[in-house]
Amino acid sequence: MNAPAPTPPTPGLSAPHPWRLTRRGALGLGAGLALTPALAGCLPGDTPRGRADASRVTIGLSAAVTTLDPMNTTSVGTDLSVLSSVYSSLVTRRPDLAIGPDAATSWRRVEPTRWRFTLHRKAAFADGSPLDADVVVWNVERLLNAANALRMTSNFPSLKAARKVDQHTVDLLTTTPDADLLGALSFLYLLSPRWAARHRPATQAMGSGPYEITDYSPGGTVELRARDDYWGRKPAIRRVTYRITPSEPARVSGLLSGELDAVAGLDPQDLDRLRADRALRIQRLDTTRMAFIKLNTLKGPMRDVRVRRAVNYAVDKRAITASLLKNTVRPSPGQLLTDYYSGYTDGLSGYPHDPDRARALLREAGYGKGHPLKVTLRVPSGQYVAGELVVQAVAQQLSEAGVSVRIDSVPFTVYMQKYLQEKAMPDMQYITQAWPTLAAGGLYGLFVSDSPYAYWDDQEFTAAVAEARRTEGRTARDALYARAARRARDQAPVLFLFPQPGVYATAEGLNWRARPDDWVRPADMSWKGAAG
Amino acid sequence: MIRFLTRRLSLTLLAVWGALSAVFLVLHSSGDPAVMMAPIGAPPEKVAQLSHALGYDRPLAEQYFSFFGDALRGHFPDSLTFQQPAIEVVLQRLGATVLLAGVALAAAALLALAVGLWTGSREGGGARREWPMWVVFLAQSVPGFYIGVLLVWIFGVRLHWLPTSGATTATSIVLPAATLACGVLPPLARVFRNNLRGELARPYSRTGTALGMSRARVVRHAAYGSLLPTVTVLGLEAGALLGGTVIVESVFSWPGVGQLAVTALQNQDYPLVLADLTFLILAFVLVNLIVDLLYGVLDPRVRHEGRGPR
Amino acid sequence: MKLLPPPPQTTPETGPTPRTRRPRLGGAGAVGAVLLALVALVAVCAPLLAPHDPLAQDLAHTNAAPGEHGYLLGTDQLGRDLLSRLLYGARTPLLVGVVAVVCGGAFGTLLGLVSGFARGWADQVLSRLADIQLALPSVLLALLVLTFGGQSTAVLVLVIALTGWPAYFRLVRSRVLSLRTMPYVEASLTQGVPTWRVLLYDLLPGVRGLVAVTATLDLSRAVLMEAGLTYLGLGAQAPAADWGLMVAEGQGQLLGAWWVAVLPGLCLVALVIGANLLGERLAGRRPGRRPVRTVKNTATANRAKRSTTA
Repeated sequence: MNAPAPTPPTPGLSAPHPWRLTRRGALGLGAGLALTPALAGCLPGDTPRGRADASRVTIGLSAAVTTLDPMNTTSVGTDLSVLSSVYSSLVTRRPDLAIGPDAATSWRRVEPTRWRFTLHRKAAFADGSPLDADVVVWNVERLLNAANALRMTSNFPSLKAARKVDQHTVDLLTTTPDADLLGALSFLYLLSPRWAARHRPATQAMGSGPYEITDYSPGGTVELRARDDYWGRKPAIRRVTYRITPSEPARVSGLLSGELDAVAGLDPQDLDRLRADRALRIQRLDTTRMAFIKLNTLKGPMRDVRVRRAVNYAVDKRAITASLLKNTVRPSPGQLLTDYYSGYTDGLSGYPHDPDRARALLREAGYGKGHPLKVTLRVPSGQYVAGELVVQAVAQQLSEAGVSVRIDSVPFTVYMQKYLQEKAMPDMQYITQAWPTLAAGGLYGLFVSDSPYAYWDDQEFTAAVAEARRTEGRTARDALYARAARRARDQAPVLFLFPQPGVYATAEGLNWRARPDDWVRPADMSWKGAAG
Repeated sequence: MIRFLTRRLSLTLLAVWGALSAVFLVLHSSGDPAVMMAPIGAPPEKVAQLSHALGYDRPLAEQYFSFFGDALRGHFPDSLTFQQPAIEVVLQRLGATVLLAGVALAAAALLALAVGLWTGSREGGGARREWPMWVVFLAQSVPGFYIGVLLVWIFGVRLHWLPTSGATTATSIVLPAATLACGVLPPLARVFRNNLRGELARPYSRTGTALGMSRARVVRHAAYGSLLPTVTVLGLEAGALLGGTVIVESVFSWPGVGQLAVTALQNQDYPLVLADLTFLILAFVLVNLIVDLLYGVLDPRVRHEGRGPR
Repeated sequence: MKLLPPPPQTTPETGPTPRTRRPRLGGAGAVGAVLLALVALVAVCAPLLAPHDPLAQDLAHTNAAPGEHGYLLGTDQLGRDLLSRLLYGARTPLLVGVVAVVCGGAFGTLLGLVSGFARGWADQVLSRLADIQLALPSVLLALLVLTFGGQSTAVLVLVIALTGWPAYFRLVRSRVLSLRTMPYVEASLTQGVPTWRVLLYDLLPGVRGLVAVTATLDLSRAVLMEAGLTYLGLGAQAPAADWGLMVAEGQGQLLGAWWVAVLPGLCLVALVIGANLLGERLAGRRPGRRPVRTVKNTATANRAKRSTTA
């Protein structure tokens, strides 16, 4: 976003509108009762089509915001997207996916394991207290204190400590040289130590970001108002309403009726209907998440590489992308990465759809009539775009190749527990994976032998990745990653599918560039004409 | 009167005891509840710690009694997803549910009165008079979630008249309240209508007619007499209403306690499910007590009766 | 806990004037029996009737409109033939409903017999248990049990049965209380006939009809509850064909492929209307005269039809 000059809000336009009359108050009961009088004044016919209000935007979220503590959530699409408007971080990942400044104006590596950040001199919290080196040190200590059991902590495996240099300069120390630190820091939102001592960050927020929260109830709507005293570039959108619309038809009808201005992560099945509406602008892109079906190569039938290849041949990826995903994505060329990642290898090809070859391989591995291959395929319910449908299609195609598949649909939390804590991944599971720093070494790190995510013990792959991570020269490094990619293609630790499709709909006239990572930030938005 | 009160109160206490025992039984039916109450993936030491903190390692009999105290005081473990006391989350969502149920109940009661007066004030009359009862019958036979889905389809998706999700605009309440009302209307309408017919057949109504009172006046008196049993059914339907809110709130993403129970269930946030359901069940039992007492106030016969009719 | 008349649909006995308690349905009972029989027939003969495998996908023709590409009722989001899925989809609701009704009915009847016959403290205890059970909102109780007791079809059936038994219990108990004073029962007792024989041969026949009527009406409750819980994700799981599940899955497609969600719902409505129509009609007759067993298959349904229209 090469910034158009910020426009001050037009006072006349920010007046409340009848259909936005209600906001949920701190006490639900009061707010609930406030709805009633409004009922009378609002006939169905008034449902707005007018999106011309240059200072407001309504965003549909797929799931409720569950906590306001930015260090205790890792959900980018919901919690963090909202909180990134309220809090600021040292650095931020910009819409073009490069790392840019936020509370830190500049940074450099003074030693291999020491990063020095210079803070914005005016950076301050909404209560006026400055965002200085002490604040950063306190936040890093909060993050690293195991007793706090914060969910964000696991994203900072190498971070060791923070040291104040002077009031506006702070050093971050890592245990090992870590090129991914900046990417991780774009997830670290800074709290005010003084405020946090007297408030509960899980249910209240006071940050140094461009917006402040005017209304929040756990699981309900969230409302933001732009701060007049914000120290950075003032956003064009002055008021933001987040609506929780977990169901796809509610999202779509909200968009079509004009209640919602922006929605991310739509089901591709609705693409045609959304495109038919002239008042909407549809953006479609591959996300940084790769979708595949992970195979448990450590236990059970998937130990046999022939079986792993067989299931890859048995599934018609193209038919699935064409029908269920409406051609929004193309099948992956046997890759674990999408092409956003540095270190992506060109020129690989995926497993073609070849049921005969699949059956032959299965026969070779000792399965067939009388002794069919039986597997369990697990999918987290409601977590991934079209995930359950894709899994059912895959199961059906596998059954046509003689594999009998039992689908096990479980809540995401259970799914992750079985996957990582209990080490009880079934034969197959549907998953989409991404790495926030968009570095091949990061995502490949989920497949090296000692990773709890891997369920794959392959020395050649692990060695190639380890060496690539140590290698400084880009060409040499990419060559090593290419070796790893080809090894993964050949050994098939997963059933290769496709990048997770990203379908975004915004009201026509709303300037916002959809991005392949899950961030939806109102500060990046503006209405056409209003911010020109 | 004293006897009536003690009887009602003792029955309510019995129901509260039964409800909490049921919750306790279900909770302890599969081992140590701390396993479920702890965050997903918590190490065994942490589970043991929680188990101790919540007293799940004490003798079962002792737990049984302290469970009552804790539940009645709203002491439950913290919600895993919201990271705050579960009962707080429940209370924050309560308003939306009370509003939805209230609007639905009011709409259903008004409709029931209309249907009852229309079909019950006259004997016979054939299909032209009886058709509302068929509509009522239909409403009774359609699953609540399906009514919701149909309303979403017609008014949200096809016509774009009404919002189909959440509680953000004033019109948001129309569809969920209508759906919920469909579930409560049938028993109300039937009881009112049948009692109205019964009252009209009684001597006082016939006497009134014989004395030359206008039909409207006779019906009005009979209607007053039929209100009482209708109010009772209203109380009885509170349970169906609560069950209905769970489903209706899920269909329309209405941010109330019913949807909370379902999403908490999906997220395996067991402390929250427990707090939510226990709270709702207790609330329901209390509403019943209030309805019983109201009945006693409204109808002196009940007060003086030794035993309730069986 | 309710001392006041139970909800109206439970039966003739509870109200002062049975004749006016429900709308006149005319030959509607027959329609109900036919609907029920049809659903049962479809469930049994699904493999013979279905043109396709209900699980077979046709990814080239997803969300086909009715009649397109040779699919009579169109296809769902995975290109599965909707007609075949509707036919197979009758099985779970019907099976769960019938089994739950049989279990709940048998349990409630047994306890009712014992309670009404033994009187005294056993009666007191059982009656209070039934009161407590009625005081707990059934959907919430079901959610609680399915959350903490595990999700499976067996638990689902159990929980539906559990919330149904008090209705049978109360009716049977009060009937047995009055039958017990009948000369033929007294005669058996004074002759020293064993208690179990008296229960089985003297009292059970007297309540059979009553139980059958209640069971028919209870079937609609059981089916509605199964569908509701399945819609919430607590019943049958994908890729199974089950009407409630199909509505839930198709809900996301209302915009472009309404038939995927709307048609399975219609089937559910047909089944519930069938049970309600027949139940109402049976209840309208004097119970106990012609014993009619639970409607399980076409033969008995037809017998029921004849007995009601005779």
